[in-house]
This record gives sequence, structure tokens and C-alpha cells, in this order.
Amino acid sequence: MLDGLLSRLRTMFRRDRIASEMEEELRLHLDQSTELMIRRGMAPDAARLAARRAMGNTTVMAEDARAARGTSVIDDVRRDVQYALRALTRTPGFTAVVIVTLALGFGVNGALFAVLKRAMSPTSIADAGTWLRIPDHWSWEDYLRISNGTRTMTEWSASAEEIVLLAADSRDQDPETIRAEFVTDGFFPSLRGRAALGRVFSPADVAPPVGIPTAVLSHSFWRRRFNSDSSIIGRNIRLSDGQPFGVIGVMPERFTGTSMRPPDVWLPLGTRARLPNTDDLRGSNATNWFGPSGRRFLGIQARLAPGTNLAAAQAELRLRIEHVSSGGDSTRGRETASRMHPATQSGINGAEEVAGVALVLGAAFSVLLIASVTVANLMLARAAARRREMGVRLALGASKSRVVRSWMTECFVLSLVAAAGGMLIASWTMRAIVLGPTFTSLLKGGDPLILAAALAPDASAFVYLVLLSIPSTLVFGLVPALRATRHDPLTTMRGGTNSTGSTGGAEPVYLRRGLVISQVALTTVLLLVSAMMVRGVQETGRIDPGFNRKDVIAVSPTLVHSGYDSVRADRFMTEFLGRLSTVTGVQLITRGSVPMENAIWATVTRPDETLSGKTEWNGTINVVSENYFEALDIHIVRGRTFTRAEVLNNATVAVISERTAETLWPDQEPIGKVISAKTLDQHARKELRDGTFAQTLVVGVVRDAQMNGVGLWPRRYVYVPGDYGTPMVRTNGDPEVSNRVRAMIRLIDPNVIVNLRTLDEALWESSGWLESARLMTNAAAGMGILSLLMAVVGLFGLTAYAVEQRTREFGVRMALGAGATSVLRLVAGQSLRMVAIGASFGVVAGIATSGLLRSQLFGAGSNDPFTFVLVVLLLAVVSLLACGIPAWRATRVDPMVALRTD
Amino acid sequence: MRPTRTDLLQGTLDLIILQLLQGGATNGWDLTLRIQATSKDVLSVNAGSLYPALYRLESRGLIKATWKTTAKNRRAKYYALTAKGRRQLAAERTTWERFAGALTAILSTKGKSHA
Repeated sequence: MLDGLLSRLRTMFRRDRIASEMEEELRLHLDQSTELMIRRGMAPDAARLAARRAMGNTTVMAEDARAARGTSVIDDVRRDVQYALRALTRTPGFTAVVIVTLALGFGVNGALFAVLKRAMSPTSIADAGTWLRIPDHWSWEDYLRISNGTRTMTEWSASAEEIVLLAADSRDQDPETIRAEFVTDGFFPSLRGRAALGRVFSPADVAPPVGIPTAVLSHSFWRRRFNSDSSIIGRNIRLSDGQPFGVIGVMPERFTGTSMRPPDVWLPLGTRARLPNTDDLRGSNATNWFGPSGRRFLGIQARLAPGTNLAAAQAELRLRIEHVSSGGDSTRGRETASRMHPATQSGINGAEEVAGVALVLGAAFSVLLIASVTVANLMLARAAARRREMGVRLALGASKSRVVRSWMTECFVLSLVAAAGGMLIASWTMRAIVLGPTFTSLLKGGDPLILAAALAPDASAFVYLVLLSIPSTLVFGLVPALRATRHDPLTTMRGGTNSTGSTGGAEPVYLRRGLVISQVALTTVLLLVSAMMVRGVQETGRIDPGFNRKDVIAVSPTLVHSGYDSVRADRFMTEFLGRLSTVTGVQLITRGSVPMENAIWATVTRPDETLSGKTEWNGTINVVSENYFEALDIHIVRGRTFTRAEVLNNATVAVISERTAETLWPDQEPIGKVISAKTLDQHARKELRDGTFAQTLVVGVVRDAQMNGVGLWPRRYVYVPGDYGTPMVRTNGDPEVSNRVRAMIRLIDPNVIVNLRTLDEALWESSGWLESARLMTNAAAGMGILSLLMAVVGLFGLTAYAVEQRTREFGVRMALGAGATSVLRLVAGQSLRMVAIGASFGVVAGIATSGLLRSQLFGAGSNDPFTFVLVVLLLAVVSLLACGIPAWRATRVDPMVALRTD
Repeated sequence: MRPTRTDLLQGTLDLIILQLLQGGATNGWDLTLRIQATSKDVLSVNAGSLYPALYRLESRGLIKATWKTTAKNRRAKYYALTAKGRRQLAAERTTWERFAGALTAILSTKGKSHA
């Protein structure tokens, strides 16, 4: 076995010696054969000839012998590659055009593959297959009871994210809010995270309920805030109202914790109680973080123990949860356990998402196909030019399959070089997009460098491109190759192609037409898809959510993070609201839930109604002050809104939405009816009589509004009076109002950070998918334009080629009196007919795709004729230009010159 | 009267070469002569099949080639059986004998198939 292998290797490297040895051996054979014939009485010359004839074709024999040695394939490939490189460098212009065209197609695929790969596995967790996130949130007590002594799961850790305020170190610095994650000591080891500088938390640092105020910084925060200063270890950072936390470590760049976007700092879980919490403002007792029946604020993670499987872990978790939740709530255990999956599976699930991925990859693949078809057209021309060379090779005894193989090798070499180029294009564009202004603003403080690194196409993307190069090469290589070798060597060697192209040229023209038609069809589909996506995003921008989204600004001062207690906070709010009315441009001031951002989920019922457990959270409560409806332009349909007195006393009156009235009391007068609303929302319970509004009188009905999200029309939406919500101002539309409000707050307390946004911004932000939809739309539009460009090149090329081939014919026609217009019509008409056919195919496919699109993008995929007409028109104009120019050139043919060309 | 020449049965050339090489190392030309002589001119092998067959056997490790000088003082490649080739020969010969025996048995029946 090994001998055979060695011999193959040896022969591979010593081909020349082997060849000469074989030659010597065969010469000996020939000589002896000749000698024998002479001895038998032949004349020496005749004998030599006879011997040679008897011996047969030595070239074929040499090929056979090489084949017998089993090295021929490697050998052939090597020679083919050498040959291909020679052939390609001989025509650098052609090669460059082909490579660039294909590389653009590959680039699109590489970039989207990288993005999707990232989207499908949104984790940088080492060994993600065994890393489990336990769904839901848990109290400290729950955590201890669930994690203690489990058999199937090990390396437990708990974590909780919170926004904290990083106090200004000096006068010229602004305070800022940063993202902190409170973790147990098992957190870093279970994520296989080691500090790049310093160390991570020890059990002593963490130990709830106290903990030692220490901090581990994320790499990006360290770079951004401390300029990668390694002397930071041992220094303090000041959080909230200035509490010092000693920096003990900095994590490496690639460590992003449990999500793709790392928090700024990690803090020991025990220190959670030291930092203020939103509840503290509301005059309640200190939050019960770590006591019995404490707050459920922890996310829990574990590793699958070696030698067990997911099913076993789910079973054990279910038992644990049933044990923890007193009262034997078995549904919760089963439900939670069944939602527990390794981090590797958290990405794509559900047929819709798979369809989305298929849509994106399919679109990218069609760009590559279009590129390949463009190249196929170029290749056909080249194959025609090289038909003579092929003929010579065939005549010299190369088998047809051998010639095809060498041609295909050439195409594969092109394809692979283009794939490598595509990788470059993909990583450049990804970097440009991620580091570009739009995306950075989308990230909102996240570190674009990390994302850029995460989105960079990697080896797997290259493997994907290499796989794609196979169909691509087949498209642009095989057809020309088979065509070129079909001719018998004799004709091709004798005269090559004939100059009019009337005989042998007919078939490739059909072929090329077919290619252009398919190219136009694919382009049409891509253009339609991107146009539909653009329209979808536009559509969302025009949605009327039922409230004024342009001129209302929500203002959230982050008092808690600045260490305010409830007394100071109240004082601040009074002063703030008082001064707010003096800011120029402010028309109305109100308080309440910011639409799209906060909703108090509740059970809303008629007194005569009993609900089953499933409809427990069937409604929403919004605690608003008196100007809410006026400020947000939510029109009053019946009855009245709240009075100042009702707001101050939390009176038991309610305003409901139209839909709510229709749901609860169809065809009845809702005013004067009584409802009851109950919520378990922790914040609401504290401020609103334990969250219960029994016997609440309906005093008004207002227009429906999509308060809880785009496309959501709440069926049970209840406004109750109260003076607690987020301050909002109705402006006169002057964009400077935000800055004036900000400046005013700085005057009150420079250490307070304020979050100002219009309701429009809140709406866009709430629809997180819109950001990706915008990106996707840009990508689709880019692909559409790219494919349009390629189609133009293809169309232009084909028309120009046709014109060139028929120069003589045109000359004759014009000599016989044909006008320029008729020639123009002849040339352009043919090309435009192809465009029409291709576009019709494309439109049909586009209609089919729109259904798929509709399921992916809200508002998109509507078969509105406008989009279709627009795309077809664009295509028509562009193709008119693409074939118009060569056609115009055809009319400029001087009959005398044309006729003389032969 | 010359006997009719017969084409080689597919796959038998290897067996013939191995068998003839059992007598000692031989070069290609001598092998050609010997095949003709031993088969009493029934079988003839042309160079186009012989040499590729030799290279194939060599690459499979059944025979080994060395350069030696001929009686007439020319360099020639001499092929000899290897141990593996010897085993292969034994195996192939058994197979062949069983095949030939079976074929002979079939051919010696007197067409009773329709009885």
C-alpha cells in the first residue's frame, strides 16, 4: 500500500526521467523488432517501417502507460493548471474582466454568508454545544435550589444586566450610563473566559449578599474609556453616586460574554444591592435581592455535564423547577425545561426564519448566477476565438474529454481566483458597512470593531464560495467548451470561423440569446424584490400609529443611576416639570407610558366575566396625567378625559380605547360601565394600590392607538389617572427643543443623564427588525443594481457582437437603400425582444417571490402595480441604452468599407 | 498452415506475464517473443498492450524492474516477480483453472437444454 503511494509520489516528481526511461525501453523494443524482420529477409528500411507500424502509436502508449501508473489525474490537473495560467495571462484584459465580474458575484455571497452565519449562531461562547441558558428569570433562592447538586448539569452561573451610571472622574468629563452585568464567580470559568489583564472574580468577591466592590472591564470599554491603559488594574472606577469599584481585570477582545455585544463592565453579583435600583425611587423598602422569596432578576446558565444529553438535563431541570415553585406548578417546569437549548441552537428556528435565510442566500446566489451568465457570454466569444487551438489539440490526438477537461480547469482557475477576490470584496464591504456612519448609529454605543471582526468572512465563508464556484463554473465553462469541441478538427484548422458568421455562428447566437434572457429574468426578480423591500420600509415610515409621533418628546432623566433617593428625586421632578413649561417651544407637558417602550400588562375584565388562566394577561394599563390625550393627539371619541384632581388622587375612573369598548360591550354605551383591572407588575403595584383597580368607572373612550408595537392594536387598553409616568412634551415642531430641554436639565444637576427621544424614534427603535430590514433592503438594492449592471454589460456585449458579425449585411442593406432607422430597428428590436421575454419571466417569478417576502417583512411584498411598472420601466430604459449604442454604431457603417472587409 | 491468431481474453495478459516471469527476470522484447513462442504463435501481444501492462503490474508491486545490460550490451529493463507477485500468480492461476474447468464442462455437454 505504502509502496504504491511512494511510487506514485516518486513518479509524480520524476515524470521526465520516467518518460526518458520509457522511451529508451521502447526504442530497444523497436530496434530488436527491426532486427528480427531484417533477419527474416526484409530490407532495412522496410523493416524499420514495419516494426514501427507493428508497435502502434507510441504517444497513445505513453498516455496508456501513464494511466497504468495511476498518476495521470494529478499529472493532468497539474499540467492543465499550468496551461490555464499561461492561457489566462496571455489575455490579461479578458481575464481581469472575467475575474472582476465573478468576484463581485462571489463578494455578495461571501458577505451575506458571513452575516447569516453570525445571525444563525449569535454567540461567541466557547464550546457552545454544551452551554445551556435556563429560560426565564429567577430569584437568588431559586438559583441556589435549582443548581445545588445537579447530576446532568454543572458549572452553574447566574447573571443580571443593569444600566449603571459611571460618574465623571473630573470636571471636563461627562457622566455616562454604561451597561453592567452582575455575575457569580462561576460565570467566567463556565464561558472559558480568562482575563487579558489582571484576574476575574473569586468566590470572595462575589459572595451575596455583600460582595466586594470590584470590576472586570470589557476590552472595548477599556479601549474607549481608558485608552487601553494597562495601569488601570488596581485603580477605582466610580459608579452611581460615586461608589468606588476596584478594577481587577480586563477581558480579551474576543470575549463578549453571553451575547454578541458585551456589557461595559462585569461586577460581582453581591454588589447588586449596593447600587440603586429603579424601585428605590418610589419610596419603597429596599429591594429584596438575596433574601427568601426575593426579586426574580437572575438569568441562569449551566453546562451540560459530560456523558449526559439534553433530554436528561431537561428532565432534571423540570423536576428542579417543580420543586422550587411551591404549589407544584408542573406546567411551568415542563414548559421552561422544554425551552432550554444549547447556545448553538438559539439562532435560527422556525420555518419562517429558514425561509428568510433561503431568500437572502437565494438572492445572493442569483447575483452570482447573473455574473456567471455574463461571463458565459464572454466565454462563448473566447471559445469561438480559440476553436482553432482546440482543433489543433484534437488533431494531435488529445481526446475530446481531455480538451474539455483542460478548458474546464481554466474556468475553475478563473473561478477560484474570483472567489478569493470575492472574499476580499466581502470583507471590505462588511468593514465599510459596519464602520460606516449609518451602522454605527444603529449600534448605539456598541463597539463596531467587535462587530466588524465578528462579521468578517472566515474560512467557512471561503469554503462556501469554493462550493458555489462549482455551479458557477459549470454555467460559464461547460457550454462554450462543449460547443468548441463539437466541430471536427479538419474544418476548424482549415479556415477557422467564417467571417460572416452565417453558418457556424447561428447556434451560439441562440445560446447567447438564451443566456441574456435568463440574465434579464434574474435581474428583474432581484430588482423587484429590492423594490418591494424598499416600499415595505417606506410603508412603515408612513404608518399612522394612532398617536402623534413627530412632535412629542419623551424625557427620561436617569435619576436612580445618579444615586437619587425618592425625596431628592421628587424634588428634582418638581423643579424639572416646573421649568419645563418655560422652555421655548414646549406646548403641553404630560406624563404616562411612552408608546412602544413601557406597558403595564394587566388583566382587564368586566365584572360579569370570568377568565380562564390563558387570558390572564389580556390587557394593558397606562397611567397618565391630564394632558396625555391632547399632547399625543389621541382623539376623544366619547365622554371626557381626566381632571387634574383625578390625576392627583388616582381616582377610580378610566378611559378606554374604542376597540376595548367594542370588545367588552359590543353595541352598548360604554360610558358609565364598570371594569376591573389588575396587574402584577412590580412597579405598578407599588404606585397603584397594589395594582388593583376594582370597580373602576369608564368615563371616556378614545381612538385606538398602536401603543404596544407596530401592527398591534390592543384589544383591552385602559388609561387610568396618575402622576407617575415618563414626562413627555408636545413641541411646536422645532427640533431645537430637545437641546433646550437638555441644557435646562444640566442647570438643575449636571450629574443627571437624560434620555430624550421623539415618539417617532421610540417607534423605530422598538421595531428592532426595522433596523435589520433597512440593512436588508440596502443589501437587496445593492444586489439589484449590481445585477442590472451585469445585465447591461451582457446585453451590450451581445448586441455589439451581433452588429460586428453582421457588418457586411448592414453594408449591403444600406447600399441597397435601407435607411438608418430600419437598421436601428433591426438591431435594437432583436435585443429588446430578448429583454421583453426575460422581463416577463422575471415578473412572473417576482410575483411568486412576493408571497415569501410578505411573510418576512411587514408591509413588504405587496403586489402593488406601481413597483412592478417602475422596475419594468427602469429595465426598459437601461436596456434601450445598452443596445441602442451598438445599434447606432451599426447605422454608421459605411457600405463601401463594410463590403470591402472580406 | 498458420494457426489463427487469437485476441487475448480480457485480463489474461497479466496472468501470462506473471507466469512467464516465474522463469526469471526478462525484458519486454524477450517477453513478446516468449509469449508468441510458448503459445505456438496463437497469441500475439503488441507493444501497445504489453508495456502498459508491465507498468501497471509494477505500480501494483507485483513485479520489479531493474536496468541491466543485454547479451548485446544494450541497456534494457528487466522485470522480475516479487513475493507479492508470486502470491498473486498462485491465486490467479487457481481462479483461471476453476474458470477454464467450468467452461470446458459447459462446452462438453451436448446441448440437452431442450430435452
